[in-house]
Amino acid sequence: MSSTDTGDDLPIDENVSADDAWPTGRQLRSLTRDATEAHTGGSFFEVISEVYSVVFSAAIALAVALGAVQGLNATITTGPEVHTLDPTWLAVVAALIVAGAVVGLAGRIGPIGMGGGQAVWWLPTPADRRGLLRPRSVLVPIMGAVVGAAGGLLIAFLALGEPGPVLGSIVALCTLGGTALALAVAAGQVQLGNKRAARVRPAALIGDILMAAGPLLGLLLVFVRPSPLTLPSGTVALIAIAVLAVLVVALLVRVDTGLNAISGRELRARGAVSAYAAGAVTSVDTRELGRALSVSTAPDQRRRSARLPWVRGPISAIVTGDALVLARSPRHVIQIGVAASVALMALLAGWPTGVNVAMLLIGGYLAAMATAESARRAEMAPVLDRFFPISAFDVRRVRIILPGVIMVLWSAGVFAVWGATHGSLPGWILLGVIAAPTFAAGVVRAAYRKPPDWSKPLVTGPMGPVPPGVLLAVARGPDLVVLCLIPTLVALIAFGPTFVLVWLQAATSAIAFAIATHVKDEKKPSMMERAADAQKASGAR
Amino acid sequence: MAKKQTSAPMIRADKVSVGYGSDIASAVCPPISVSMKPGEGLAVVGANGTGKSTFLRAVAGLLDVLGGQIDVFGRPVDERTRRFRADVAIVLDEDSYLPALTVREHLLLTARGHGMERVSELVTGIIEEFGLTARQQAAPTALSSGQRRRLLLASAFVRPRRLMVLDEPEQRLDSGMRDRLAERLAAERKTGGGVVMATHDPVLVRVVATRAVLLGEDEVRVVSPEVAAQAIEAM
Repeated sequence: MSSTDTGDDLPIDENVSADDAWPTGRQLRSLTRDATEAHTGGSFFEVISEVYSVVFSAAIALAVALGAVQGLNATITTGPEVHTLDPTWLAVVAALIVAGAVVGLAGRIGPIGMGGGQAVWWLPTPADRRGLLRPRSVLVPIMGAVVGAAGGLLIAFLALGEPGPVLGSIVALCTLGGTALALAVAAGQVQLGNKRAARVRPAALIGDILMAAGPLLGLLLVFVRPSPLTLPSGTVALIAIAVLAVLVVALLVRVDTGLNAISGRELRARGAVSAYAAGAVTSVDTRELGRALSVSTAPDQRRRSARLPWVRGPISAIVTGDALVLARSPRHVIQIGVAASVALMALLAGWPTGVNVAMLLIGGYLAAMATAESARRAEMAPVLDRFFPISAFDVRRVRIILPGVIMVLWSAGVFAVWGATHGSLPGWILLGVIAAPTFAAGVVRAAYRKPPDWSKPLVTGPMGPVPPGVLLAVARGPDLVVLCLIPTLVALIAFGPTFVLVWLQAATSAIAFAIATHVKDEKKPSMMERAADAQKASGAR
Repeated sequence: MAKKQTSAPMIRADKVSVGYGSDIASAVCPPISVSMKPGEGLAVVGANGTGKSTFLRAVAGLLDVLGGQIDVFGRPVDERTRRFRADVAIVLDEDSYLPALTVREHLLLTARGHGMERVSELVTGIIEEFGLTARQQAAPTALSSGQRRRLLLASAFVRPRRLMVLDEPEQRLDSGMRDRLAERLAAERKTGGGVVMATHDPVLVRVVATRAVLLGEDEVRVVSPEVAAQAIEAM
């Protein structure tokens, strides 16, 4: 390859001999990046206008909720509330979940791999593999550190309740801990070298176990109510930080020197997952991200087939398929438990009401997302919805059954805890059950949203080029949840589960269901299109 | 297992233009006019990029036509209806499966979802016919691409249907499986079912089709299966 072959100015030394004329790994990466950036051209203002639209709709929902509260002269509860569980133990729960997230994510995406075009074009070249892989290997500790630091802040605030001198130590420990965990997974990959991966990747399994342990410990705390943990002294924390720092350096050296040992097969397999996930992240597509992390590159997965004798007709077939997909995905089942922890942790720690409400919303949506994997698959492969003798309108309604049932159970549990800490237990449970379909509707709406249009000029962003319309696509689903949960939000921040709010929530849940299950008739013009046509016609006259 | 036939055309395409743009200028081939009655097999043949799959997607209702009209069972195509989905089995060039379900479970669900009787025996037979017996407890992600293709084809045969829409069904199949598929599709046609397929396989055209649409850049011809098969061999 030379500069005359491609017509581009390759950053290659012109004086090297023909044998040495191959670009280095670093030069190959640079060349590919330049070529990619040449295809953008969309305006960044398009992204800004999308951000505006998304933020504006969220602000409207908040304004409606607060306006309703103030209009009725109610008192907004701001907290902080009284904690019902020991915060230091809750911090341990959070630490388990964060550690599980770091290890599980790192294990699923490699953490070192090479996918897509890079694997096809780069791996067969004689370029040094270490040079090609180094950016990815550098990214591993950085990502571990970032997630660790964010988790550290959460843990510190959970344990301490306010900023203090120990906060710095906890965040430093967690940052180094996250870095070490991510690097340990990478070191395991290097250690594996050319050996074939096991059926279940140890890191992914350990990550799942840690994440599952978080909610289980939380549940245990509710029953056992142990005495508060004593935070380690400053000296102990400093020693731990020093030990972790040494461990990080040792792991860094091990990973960097072992990059050449990772087999091409392993790099391609992990790269396929990480490229899929990276594409989902850079295009801000949570739906694709979920699919990416569900991709299995394990050699074989055999199980005994269920006989499914209860299935009679299309509705039970679709619901059964949805339920099997959820039940056989430990990651999604764990996600539902983790979401409950997210929703309740701030409440049990006695944080301000506003934070508790936000955490409840986030937790609810996180739990609902875990239940809609089949709907996301069906959007990706439309034939799945066409397997059965059931109309497009009805299949969408059927796809909401499983998320609805799971979210009713989830909400009943979470709102029961809310009720136990705020009083009016039956009312809160009733409100939670009635609000649950809104979460299900939101995730089904999100699952069936149209993908962004990649044929239009792309917009250069900090994480690479993205198509216009991507943020509006991401907001499709969460927007429905926020807007249709306004009665519940009003109840949570001011009035409690009053008769009127319960009825209002029932109405907005029905609206959410109707919107999420609506299938647009592509052949008929929309109301906006009809209005535009009418305007054109009147202009012509 | 084709349902009872009627004499009305299963498919009637009248000056149909297909493509992925928004106006007729983006059509990928000249307008197509063809019809197909029950018990017939229609092969859609042409070089790469001439619009075979695009036309098939329009027949399956997955793509709006740019001009003209397609009727299936006497009505404009609307794949969203229960009746269309009950009558038409579609196998396109995309992997459509739920990764958590085994091969056998996919077929059990499909058959039971269509209200079939004696499902276990039926599924066992189809699995054997498509050479998936040894892999029936495997998840689709653990199958080879050819085996996944067999699973998709099996899912079309395990359910009742009046019309099969198949996009290059021979893709990724070994020669033995191709021959068995050709016999199966010919039998489907002879029992009154309809088969419309895009294909590059001359054997499939000769055995299954009763007529063919030959797509070219400048013209579209309705020809005999033999002419279509020879055209494929000459490509």
